[in-house]
Amino acid sequence: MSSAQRLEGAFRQGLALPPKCDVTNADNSLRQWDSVAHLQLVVAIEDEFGVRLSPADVIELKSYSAAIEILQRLGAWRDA
Amino acid sequence: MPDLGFLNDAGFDPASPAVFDGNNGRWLTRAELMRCVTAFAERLELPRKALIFLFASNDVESLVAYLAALQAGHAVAVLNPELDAALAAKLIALFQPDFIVRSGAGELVRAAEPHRHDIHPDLSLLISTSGSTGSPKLVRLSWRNLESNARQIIEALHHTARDRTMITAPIFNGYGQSVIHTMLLAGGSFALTHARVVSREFWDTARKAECNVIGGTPFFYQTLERLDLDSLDVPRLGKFVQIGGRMPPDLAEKFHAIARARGGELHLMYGQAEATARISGLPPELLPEACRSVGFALPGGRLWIENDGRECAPMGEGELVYEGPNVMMGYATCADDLAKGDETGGRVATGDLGYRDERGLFYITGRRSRFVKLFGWRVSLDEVEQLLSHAAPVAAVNDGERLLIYAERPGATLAEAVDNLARKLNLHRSGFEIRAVDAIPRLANSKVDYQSLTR
Repeated sequence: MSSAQRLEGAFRQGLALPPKCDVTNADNSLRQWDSVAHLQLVVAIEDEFGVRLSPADVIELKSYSAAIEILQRLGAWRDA
Repeated sequence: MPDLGFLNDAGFDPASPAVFDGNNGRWLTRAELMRCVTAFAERLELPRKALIFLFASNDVESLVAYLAALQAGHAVAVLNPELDAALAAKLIALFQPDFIVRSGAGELVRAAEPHRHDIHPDLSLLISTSGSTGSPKLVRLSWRNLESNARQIIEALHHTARDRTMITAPIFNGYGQSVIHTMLLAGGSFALTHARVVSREFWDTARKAECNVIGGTPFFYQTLERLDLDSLDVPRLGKFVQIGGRMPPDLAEKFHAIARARGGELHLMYGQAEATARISGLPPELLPEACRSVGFALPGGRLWIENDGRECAPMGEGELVYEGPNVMMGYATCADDLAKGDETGGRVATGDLGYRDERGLFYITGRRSRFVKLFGWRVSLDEVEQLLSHAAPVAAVNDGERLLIYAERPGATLAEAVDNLARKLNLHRSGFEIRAVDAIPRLANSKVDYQSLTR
């Protein structure tokens, strides 16, 4: 599976989004994205990519694209 | 105008700060807040006592509307602005409020034919027993309830006019309201923001407002642990308060140590809406040793353990029963109930099970009542069952931090219904778990045998 597919899965699971919706535009203005979902998303990304997000990363995780930037910085992102 | 309201104490300097609006970065003094409240109260004028539904967000506009409703001597129910539209409509049809206020939209709707209700003169605030499901079972609180509980909390936390807190909970929640009451009555101040706890903006507000107090549910502390308090640059924070369910002991120990290192303290508290907000607190000097305890009854209250109608000796297990000036008048499930007076005599059986040790410290071991705390918020199990009944017959039980849904042959329909329910209630799906059972166990009277499901 590509990094993008894995991240999409982590977003669906973490934010408890329906299976079909597009998550690549997801950001924290989503109604589902509350504090509980935020931490679930952090855990889902960490489990999927085997990384540990710093406190600053946790706060900067505001959207799907921000997640890619964080994972790139941590060297966990592989471009397809 | 009756002498109600949390801003009427003339002993405090009117020029002192009252509320910091994190949404625009401005302070309001007590006098400025009072002026806004008085102006709004005039818009709520009716020849007799009214029922107000306030859909409140964490902003000054909602705060003003809330304080104005109390000051005008009306009865107010504060509701989640994101409450599912169908659930909100049901509540409105049931209680027929004279006014509906929605902040943000700046909307104040007056009912077409107001003042139909006979409302008891003592009634001030109505709190839903399960806010997320829009439960029509509301706790009826008097002004005396609100004021006495705020005074009890001030005494337990040693709050003074110098204390300033960051509000971490929605103000449509009873805990959020209790923080407002407490700080205003202490002559202190607080900061409000729409921003979520996990955001730069939230901590910018706490820093700019120079808050020294913060409180929240165990989930809030888990979040704070993940964010690393020291990296958030809020050096003044030192007084920590925990509410909303049992704090994991390791988390309590950790935040006790953090608070001490900052020259402050951690207060573990316990309560429920039936007692306005809070019932007991653990004096910080008993930490970390007593981190599993919910402490002693608040000043002016009495707490004991009861089994089969008799008070238990120390270490004996039973239900926690509380008596105090903050105990509700009773419940309301329809508009007619608003006329009722006090039905509790100041005593409430909490539905929580536990014991008292030789020192008089109280401990909670389980829960008898049909509620679960999901992420710190109270959810009615019976209402969850009812909201899922269209998909399948289910039995919902409390499993500590999660809500277990037992069903015979659970299928995709039920799974989808639970997904939708979680979304509708704004509760994360991970709080729910579906479990298959051969047959939902029933008692002789055909009611669900919940005890055998939780065993």
